Amino acid sequence: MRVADGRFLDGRGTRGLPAWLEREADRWSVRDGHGALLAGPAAVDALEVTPGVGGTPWLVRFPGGGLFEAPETPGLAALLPRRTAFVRRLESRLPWALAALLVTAAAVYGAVRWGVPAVARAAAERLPPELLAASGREALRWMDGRLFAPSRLDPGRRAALAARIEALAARHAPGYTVRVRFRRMGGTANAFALPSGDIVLTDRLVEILDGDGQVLAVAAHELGHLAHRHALRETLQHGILTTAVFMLAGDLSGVTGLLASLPVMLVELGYSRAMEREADAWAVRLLRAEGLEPALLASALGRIEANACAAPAAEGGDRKAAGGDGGCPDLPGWLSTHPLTEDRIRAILAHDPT
Amino acid sequence: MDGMQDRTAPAGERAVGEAVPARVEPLGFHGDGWSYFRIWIVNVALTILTLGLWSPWAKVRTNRYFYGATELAGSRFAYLADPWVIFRGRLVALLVVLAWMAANAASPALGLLLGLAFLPLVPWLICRSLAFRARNSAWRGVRFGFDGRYVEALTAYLLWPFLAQVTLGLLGPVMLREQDRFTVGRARFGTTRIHHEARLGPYWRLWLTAAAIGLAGLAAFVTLVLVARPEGGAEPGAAFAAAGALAMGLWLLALVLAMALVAVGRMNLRYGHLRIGPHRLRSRFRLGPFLRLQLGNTLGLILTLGLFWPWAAVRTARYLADHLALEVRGDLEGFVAAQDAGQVGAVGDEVGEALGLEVGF
Repeated sequence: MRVADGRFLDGRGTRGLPAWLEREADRWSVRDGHGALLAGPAAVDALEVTPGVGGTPWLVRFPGGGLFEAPETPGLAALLPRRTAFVRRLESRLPWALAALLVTAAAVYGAVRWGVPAVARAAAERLPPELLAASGREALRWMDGRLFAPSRLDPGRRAALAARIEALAARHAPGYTVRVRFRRMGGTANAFALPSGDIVLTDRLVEILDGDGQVLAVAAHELGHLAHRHALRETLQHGILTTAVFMLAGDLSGVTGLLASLPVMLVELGYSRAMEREADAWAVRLLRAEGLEPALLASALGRIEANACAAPAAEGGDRKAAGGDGGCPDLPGWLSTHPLTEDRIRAILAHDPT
Repeated sequence: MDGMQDRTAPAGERAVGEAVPARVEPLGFHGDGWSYFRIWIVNVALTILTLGLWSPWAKVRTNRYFYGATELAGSRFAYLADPWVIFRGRLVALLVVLAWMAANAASPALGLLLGLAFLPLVPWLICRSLAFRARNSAWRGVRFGFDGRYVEALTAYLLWPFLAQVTLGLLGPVMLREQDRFTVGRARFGTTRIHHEARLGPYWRLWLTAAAIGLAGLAAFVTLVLVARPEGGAEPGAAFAAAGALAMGLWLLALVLAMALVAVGRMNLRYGHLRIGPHRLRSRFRLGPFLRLQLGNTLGLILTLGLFWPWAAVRTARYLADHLALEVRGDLEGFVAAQDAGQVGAVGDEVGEALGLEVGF
């Protein structure tokens, strides 16, 4: 029986002959146009079969090195190795391809939504807190050289605030050596927590807030970032996501590769907003444990936003300072590092039973 | 050190010579997005469901599809790698990466030490990686091969990049040519050596053009910002913001253009100067189609949340095939298979890939 028409190569060079594959019971052989035997007959087990993938030609190597290649025909299916048969069935039937698409979509969604944050959280809890301390100190030095000027706040006020915040930290975030740093950053009212345990408060922040209670509330939010290891978790999440993208789309290059980082960025913004909510919730618990009103944090956030929106182009003009907690909602929510302030305030007040 | 000369094609490499008029055999690509979509999505799902164990088989099926869909002179290419070999390679790669991460976590100094100890292995990895890919590529039953040596890899991928760095990029063109001469110029088809015969001139021209475009973009940026800057400390207004955005856009455009130009020029330099026996590869990649390809792929990927990927890959393969052709002198029947039957392990390829070593072939 003539199974397929193709070309025969002797395996020693590129000179090929038109030929056809013949099957007699379980014996396979190759014959040329005159019917002369070129290879075989051989049993299936003696053949090295490379089936085509998605319509590419089949290769059948005979004992002795002779090679028959031909486009796919139904008769060739008898040569199909069992494992390949399974994959080919999945590929060739549309419902299976759609099922594969569903599995993929569900897995990607689950991994992004729960898997990556959970893995990063578990890993962060097992790693020493001082792991990123050096990079935190480095970040502070970098910002000191470029963004910050020395504080002009009253030294007595600074010392008193620092002492109260550091005492809070000692009670609620043990394992960290928290140092409060005051810096001037133009008209920006902002606070940062660095993984080294440094909490930076800008002069403008202390000036616009109403009393020590609101400053403590903002500091409590920053302590929440430290207690939940947010910097370390962010680093781990970034590592996992970029590795996954690289593995899935390894040979993206040039401009396309640049844009592959776009979805990663959007996902990470989502993680960032979740962490802000986590820090808010932590701050609420701390304030309550300290006998302070959680509403202090809500009113502080309102003032920070009012400041950012009132003086958008004030000295330096930097409304969205890197990693900070201030900002005027000039971006849609899904493009922002922080949830919208009104949503945060609503959530904070909802935590509050009064 | 070069034992290759005596293995050079017996088909009278020079005898046929340039005098015979060439017939052009274009490369053809016969794949389509839907076929590859099904292969791809099944691969992705199986890789997820097997927690990654399927990935070597996925790689082999993908390569078989793309090689098998590429045609030259009526015959398709073939990818012959054994998934189990790739599996073992990936296992070793995983162990290497894990060992390094563990060492790094235990003590950064130990991690650094291990990294330094690893450095001498890099040229070896590059050689093995290129050999693996070449050996598992075939056309008309004849496998490709790669004969690059450790010292050559060391020169092309460590010494020249170092020299290019210390001369602030001045020696970049020399580095690129050395790398092309190594990656494609040390390959062979069967017993026939592939020669990379580009002069340095075109490399310099490409480098200078790209640098000029980049600098022009930067100059436009600086000029616009300086011109639009408000006088004497006045509040920067909307006009300044607009000028800033325009300047930023111009600069980005120049960067993208320069990058695309280098990518296209690089491919032409790498593939457009190859001689194999009496035949020559012709490479006519152009900027316009390349930009269209990249723009289309990028938009497609964004708009479909990545589901466009199979079509992007097929478009890229077709673009590559469409702009490559073999200038054939005589016929293509005279190539002889090499008799080295030994299998090349995939450890080099996979460790290299895991560590992000970029070596194109």
